[in-house]
Amino acid sequence: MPEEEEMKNRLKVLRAERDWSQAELAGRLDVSRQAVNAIETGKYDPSLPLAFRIGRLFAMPIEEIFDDGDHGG
Amino acid sequence: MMETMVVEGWRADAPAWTLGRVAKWIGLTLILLFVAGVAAGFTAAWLDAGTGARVWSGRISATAPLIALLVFGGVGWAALRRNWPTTRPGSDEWQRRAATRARRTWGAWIGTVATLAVAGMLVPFAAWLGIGTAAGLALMIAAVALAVIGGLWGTLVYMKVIDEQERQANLWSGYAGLTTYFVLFFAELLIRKVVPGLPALDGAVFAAVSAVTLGTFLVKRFR
Repeated sequence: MPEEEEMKNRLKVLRAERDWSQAELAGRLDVSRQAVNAIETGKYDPSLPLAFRIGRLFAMPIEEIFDDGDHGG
Repeated sequence: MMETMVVEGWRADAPAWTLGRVAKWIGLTLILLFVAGVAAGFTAAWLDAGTGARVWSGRISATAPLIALLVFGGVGWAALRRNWPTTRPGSDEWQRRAATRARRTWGAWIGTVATLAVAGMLVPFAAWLGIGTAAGLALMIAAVALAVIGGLWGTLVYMKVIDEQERQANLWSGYAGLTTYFVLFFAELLIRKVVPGLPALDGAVFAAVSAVTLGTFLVKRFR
């Protein structure tokens, strides 16, 4: 089984650009503040539906927000 | 462009020492304390085998449940105070949705705790009246029914309103609790084979499983 890469994301940066708190982003995504914190710190990878919601909220494709570290090299 | 009014609660970002971090350390301490407690319980049971002594007799303070109640009550109250502003809807659609969700979550928690507390308070009354009497029996049945209905209702609402990260924390805690139960159940069986006349360890096993389940949940949810 291939070793699982650690997922990185730009959620914290995107949130800061909009001057949103974790609670505010959580409210917009319909999740808890703890979930936003866990995603930002890389301790929790969101499900595909939540990743799509995040992408839609920031008007960006998912792969511009999340990076699984596999660049096909 | 219309200015978005953001309710105060949504502006609050996580302070350096969040409730979650406190909860995580309480969870870790609980696991360690209960693992140590259960180990001590098993040792005590081993040493007391055949003497007829109760496992926890004289080894656990009667104030322990009160301290636990104060700790959990305190954490619950602090969480409620901190998150209460998020139950007020702001001007945006997402704020209204989030506020509804927050109200339902707190409603489920408070409703469940209150129902279970009332059910718990009925039990001593039933015992005082005497389970053999019709009134005592009726009160005991009412207490059990309240506890079952309250617990079931609270669980259903809770499972509907939680997000996927909390659901995953529940999955982990359920798995950890079940594994702990299997290990302790068979450990007790094995000890019983070796040491006949061992006092009942059900309370210790229940406490350990509860602590590991709760501790794992707190760590996975708030780490």
